[in-house]
Amino acid sequence: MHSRRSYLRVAAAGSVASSAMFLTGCLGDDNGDDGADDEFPSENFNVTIPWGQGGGTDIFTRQIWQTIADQNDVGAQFENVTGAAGMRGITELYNSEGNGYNLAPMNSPSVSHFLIQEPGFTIDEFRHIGGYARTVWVLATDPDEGFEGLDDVSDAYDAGDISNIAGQQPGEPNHVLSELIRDELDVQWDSYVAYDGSGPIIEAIAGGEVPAGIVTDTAAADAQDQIDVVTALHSEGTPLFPDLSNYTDYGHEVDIDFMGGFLRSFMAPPDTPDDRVDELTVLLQEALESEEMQEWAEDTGNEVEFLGGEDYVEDVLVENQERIPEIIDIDDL
Amino acid sequence: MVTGSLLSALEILFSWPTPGWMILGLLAGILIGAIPGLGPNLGLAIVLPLTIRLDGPDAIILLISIYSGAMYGGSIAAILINTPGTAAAAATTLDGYPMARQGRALDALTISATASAVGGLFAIVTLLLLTPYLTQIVLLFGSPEYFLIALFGIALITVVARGSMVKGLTAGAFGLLLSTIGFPVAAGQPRYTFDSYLLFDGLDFVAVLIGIFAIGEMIKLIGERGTIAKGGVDMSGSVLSGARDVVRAPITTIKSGYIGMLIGAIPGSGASISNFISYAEAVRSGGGEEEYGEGNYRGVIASEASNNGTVAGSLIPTFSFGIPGSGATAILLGGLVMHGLNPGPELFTTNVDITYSVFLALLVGNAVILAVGLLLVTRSAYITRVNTTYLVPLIIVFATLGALGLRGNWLDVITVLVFGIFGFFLMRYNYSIIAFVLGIILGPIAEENLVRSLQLSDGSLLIFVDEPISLVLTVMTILIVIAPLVRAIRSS
Repeated sequence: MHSRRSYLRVAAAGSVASSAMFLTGCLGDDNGDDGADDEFPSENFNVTIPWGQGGGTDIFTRQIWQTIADQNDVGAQFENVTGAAGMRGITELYNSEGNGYNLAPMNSPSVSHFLIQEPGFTIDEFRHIGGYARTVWVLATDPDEGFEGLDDVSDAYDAGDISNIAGQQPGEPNHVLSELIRDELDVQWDSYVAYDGSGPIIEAIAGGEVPAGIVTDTAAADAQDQIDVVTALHSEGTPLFPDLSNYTDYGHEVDIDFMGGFLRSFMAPPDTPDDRVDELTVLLQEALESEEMQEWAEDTGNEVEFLGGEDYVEDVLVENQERIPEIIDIDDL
Repeated sequence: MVTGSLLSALEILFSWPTPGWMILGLLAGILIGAIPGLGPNLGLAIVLPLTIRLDGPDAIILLISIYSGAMYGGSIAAILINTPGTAAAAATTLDGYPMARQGRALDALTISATASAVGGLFAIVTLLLLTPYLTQIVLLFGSPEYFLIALFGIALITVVARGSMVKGLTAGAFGLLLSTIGFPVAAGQPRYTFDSYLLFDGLDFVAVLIGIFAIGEMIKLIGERGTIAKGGVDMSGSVLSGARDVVRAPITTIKSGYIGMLIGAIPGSGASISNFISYAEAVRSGGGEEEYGEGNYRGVIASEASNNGTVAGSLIPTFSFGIPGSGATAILLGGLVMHGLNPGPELFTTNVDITYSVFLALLVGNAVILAVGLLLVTRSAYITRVNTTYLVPLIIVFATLGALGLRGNWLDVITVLVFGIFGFFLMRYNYSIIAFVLGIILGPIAEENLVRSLQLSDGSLLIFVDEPISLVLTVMTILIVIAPLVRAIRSS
């Protein structure tokens, strides 16, 4: 079950190792520089956080980049540039200099906002440093309904016993996922009801306002006494619910992983040079695997691991970019 | 079990350095709240990363103390210079500032401190008693109930709109209209943004409030000479006389504390709403020697008791479901998560001692607010004797800088200036400012929950009467709307 993840880890490690070797070679080249640029990082990192202070992304970003800065004897400056569902901060990063010091976190669900808001650039123009955490979406239900698995939920919709499904605003990943599970997993819900985040969705499910909804595994784990979690919407399942079946366990051979996993990563402006991106990837991996980060992850429950470098992150984000418009009509939201 | 948890909580709260963090948080909160435009959100955002080295309970108690202190601190500038330090104190300006103009700033400041402490106290004691049942209580309220509470607030326009009802409704409707700018929860596309990111999240109503109350009043003061306290008026009142006013209005104080708690518990709302609803209710129930809006001490009590009650209420959805009721509680929630305290049942079972310690910190914090308010803050009343030539430019600078600090969005600076002029004309032509404010702050909550309720009921309006709570709310709203008509018929 975990073979793909293991493969990715090995591939990423290999890629980072070769990048490091490549860099070592480059450092020995006589490229005409005076040598000052060889020291990287030698300045403070400027980290733009497109979401609010205290949120999950803010907490991860500050911890990871402060650790990287400390490990390299430089500083890190953080600025929360919020608004427009993260696009204000992302636009600021897009327009900043690609010198290896300007960077920002990116969450795969934001791809839909590139499509909705059409900012004049696309996600594949950025340079991607690496993925550091994955959150898995799960299907949660009202305990009073007594559903034991995905098939029960599907049967209840077919029989007309229930009709609504809850998620976030139209265009958000749980909306796209709800369309995917209707089309691909035959969960024939009638009406999509939008809430403002996983917390309100869980409250609505626990209060019996809606029979089922799509929430993150982290939110569901905190509310296990109030809701039933019936299936993971990613083929690798979720470590937070090790015994939980995932959608492929029900015989579905389609692949909805691109949307069922919420990838957290970091990126840099489009004109950031290759060597700087590779170096940043190495720094990220070293920090994520450091004792300090792992202790922090254990203490706070915010799991981190190096998921892959630029190729891995870009594949996920570009697949989102290409497939979301096939699943939902962006102009009709 | 509850007694054991409470004893553990007391141990946490009174083990050094926790009391130090609590007092530091309260003082910092009062200061941040008193400076127009800063407010609890900015204060909490600055302090949050610094708490990383603290223990979980210390960090949360520090953050909650800043939040609570700022709720009270916001009233200081509201009373003295008609500039609400926070949106939560906007309604305090309505009677607090006229009191200052009459030379009763000292009274208004002591009323504010006492009402904040007493309103907060009742709300927190209730919260402590309800702690084992909080999750079940939250589940009694769903989208239809949230919509009906917002609608009830909008219906209060008929109560607060003194003079021309047409003008009141027009102001309220304009506020509602402005609240539709931005990205609604119910739809996937932004509205009325003219393709600008600046408008994507709509107008920040805190900037609107700063504009209307602060800049609007400054424009008015420019045309006058002298000081805020009108010429020839002596500074009167005492620490005791203000506190006595609160004792004279126990029902208003306690009721306002509970209104604040109830509104605070509604996701997406907060003290910026509760102080107006509570003020409107005070106007509806009457009392006091002065007219409301002309220096009635009950107006100050209503606003101030409610905003500190809101702090307790906002913790209910935050702790039980991880749903922040306001920007400040969103940051507080981040603090909880950052320190490995995940919201949900765990906070009411295995970590209940920490939860109780936070509630107790609020309880003790109210006593500190009372002491600081009565002994120190009252000395700031002399600001009303400073010549407006010096005050007006300072306040305009503070207001615009504060607006920029809200979201780092230049639109908020423009909003402050435009709505300053707008507010001046609202006052000049006797349009109801409260009606406008109720419209702009309640619009999004009403819209989101209305759309969702109708989705759930497949378009049937019966969803608003088919449960006891929703039925009561519907009846209350209808009564509020028809009351002026009935009064008019009876008087004719």
